[in-house]
Amino acid sequence: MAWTIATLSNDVSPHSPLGVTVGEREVALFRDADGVCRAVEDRCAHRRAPLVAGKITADGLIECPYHGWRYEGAGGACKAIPNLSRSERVPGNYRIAAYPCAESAGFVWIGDNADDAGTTPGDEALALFAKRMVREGGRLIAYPAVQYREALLNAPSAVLLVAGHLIVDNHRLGEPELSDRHVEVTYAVDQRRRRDSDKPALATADFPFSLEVRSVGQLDRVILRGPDDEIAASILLAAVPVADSLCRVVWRAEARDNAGIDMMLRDTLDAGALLNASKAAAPVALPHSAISILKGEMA
Amino acid sequence: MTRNQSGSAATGPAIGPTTAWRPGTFALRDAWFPVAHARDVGSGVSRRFVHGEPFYLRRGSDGVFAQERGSKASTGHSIKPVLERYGYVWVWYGDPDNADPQLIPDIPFLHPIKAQPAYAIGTAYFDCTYELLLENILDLTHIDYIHNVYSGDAEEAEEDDVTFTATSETVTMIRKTRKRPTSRYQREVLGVEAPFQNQTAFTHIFIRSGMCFLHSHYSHAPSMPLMQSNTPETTRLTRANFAFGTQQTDNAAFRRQWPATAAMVAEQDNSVLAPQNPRYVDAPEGADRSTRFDSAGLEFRRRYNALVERQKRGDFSYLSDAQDGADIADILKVRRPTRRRRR
Repeated sequence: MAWTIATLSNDVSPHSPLGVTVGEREVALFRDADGVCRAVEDRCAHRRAPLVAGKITADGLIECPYHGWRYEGAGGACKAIPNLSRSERVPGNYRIAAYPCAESAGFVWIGDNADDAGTTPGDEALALFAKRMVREGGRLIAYPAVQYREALLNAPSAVLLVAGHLIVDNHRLGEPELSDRHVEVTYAVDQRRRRDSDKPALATADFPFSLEVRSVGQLDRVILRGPDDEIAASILLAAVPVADSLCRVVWRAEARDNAGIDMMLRDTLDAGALLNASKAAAPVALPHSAISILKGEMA
Repeated sequence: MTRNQSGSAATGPAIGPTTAWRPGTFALRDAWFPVAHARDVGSGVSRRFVHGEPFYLRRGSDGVFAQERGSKASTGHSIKPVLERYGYVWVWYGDPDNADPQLIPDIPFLHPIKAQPAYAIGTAYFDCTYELLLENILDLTHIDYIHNVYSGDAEEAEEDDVTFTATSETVTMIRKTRKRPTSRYQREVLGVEAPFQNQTAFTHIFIRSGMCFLHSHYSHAPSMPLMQSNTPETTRLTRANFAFGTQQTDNAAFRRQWPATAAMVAEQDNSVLAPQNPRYVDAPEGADRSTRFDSAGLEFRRRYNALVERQKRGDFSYLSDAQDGADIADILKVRRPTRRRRR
């Protein structure tokens, strides 16, 4: 799999381009005149200016802010240079890189090379699951993407807040499920004694709620299950590396249900929870395939 | 040397092959740098940089001098060549034995001793190596995009002719535009009623120091010349001390208003220069695509490379053609002052 999540589908507009970093690549995303999401190298062939500071023309070309060179999104060819006389044509080798780009499960995915064009990122089960998601957002987090996801696997309470509930990081339900492709860890969840209390309501040995954290490829799926094993809340998230110690986490979540269970990401990780988890045995690591994607090492 | 790069290029706009271009990798030396406005250097220490080298400047009873860091002396021997002229403090970066004051050009629109009024001067920083800023200054088509509000839209102009001249030390770009739409600034702030104007714009840069001179002549709107220092502080920071020749226009309101636009214009340029910088300074050489509108900038790259090659061989001299690039009044087509000076 060589598809990488860049951002949320709804972030990409037909009016102005959006800049994203995918591995080592700086990419400009935009929608062309047909609404198709396009991904091109965010660097004008002329003087290397960032195209994301430019605009989208009425005919769906991306226009450089510096001198107005215009490119089409499918192949990256320069279609127009201002001030040329009628007899002058833009040479065919004046172009920027264009990347395969697809939308699935509400995210924009960028392919590694031309082989990805025509294939679909993610899978059917993911697309089906994503249909539940109606809220979404993104936030910049001062933490590296790989470590962020491993914190979610080992100390979910450091990363997530669940309204009215307490995730018990040191109480795993069963052993983690591990394969080359995925990791899944399940934690016990208690209810809070009062809405904002840090004290558990029951303090018994039985936990009616549980939290499943499942990491596959670039996506993490978190499901809160209730007393009858029903899904009480869920969230799908992708940590997109932005810089060495910075990632942008884009997420999609279910509507708050009648019980008002709201699961959300913390702005900063909870240091106390990370400290406790660091003392516990057998930390779970992301599968190597997931780390490769985050490091931009394409399969 | 003059080359006319305009006219009908039926084969297409491409110019090539592109000159190898690695800005920020060599510090050209043996030049005067106008590092400070004279009014900014007082009895306390003013620190300035040229290619990362600090200069600690102070005004004593005998004028401005450069001292060691931390020195408490309020007067004394200058450890580096320093001059005060045209409202600027100039420092020599290079071999002190070669510091010839005659290498400072005659600037017809600035007074040799008196400083410009406070509203006519200022300082801007650009987050890039100075070579990128010079290319930006020699490139007048970006003005139609980045500075459209002030300059008007030239894409609708009837005629657009870009030429350049160059010496071993300077590059001059001349753009003649006929019937270009009057800009929003000229219309709304200056009250220019003519819908179209003819314009001749000059930009003139000094390769070693980065110093530049700019002037535009409009058929209806007023204009005034500008000097800007563009001092290379580091490969990611260029300091621009600028001074407008406000006395060159009789329009009293324009004298006051136009210098105030400099900060906004600088910000517009920096929005492109800042992201450009790592893509040149930190990145491997890439092939830039060019058109005939880039001819002056490409000539700058060639002349810059030639100067770098000479300095790498240990030749820091000025060739005889350097004088042709030092007559600012002739280059910008501005009035010469009636007073003449020469120290």
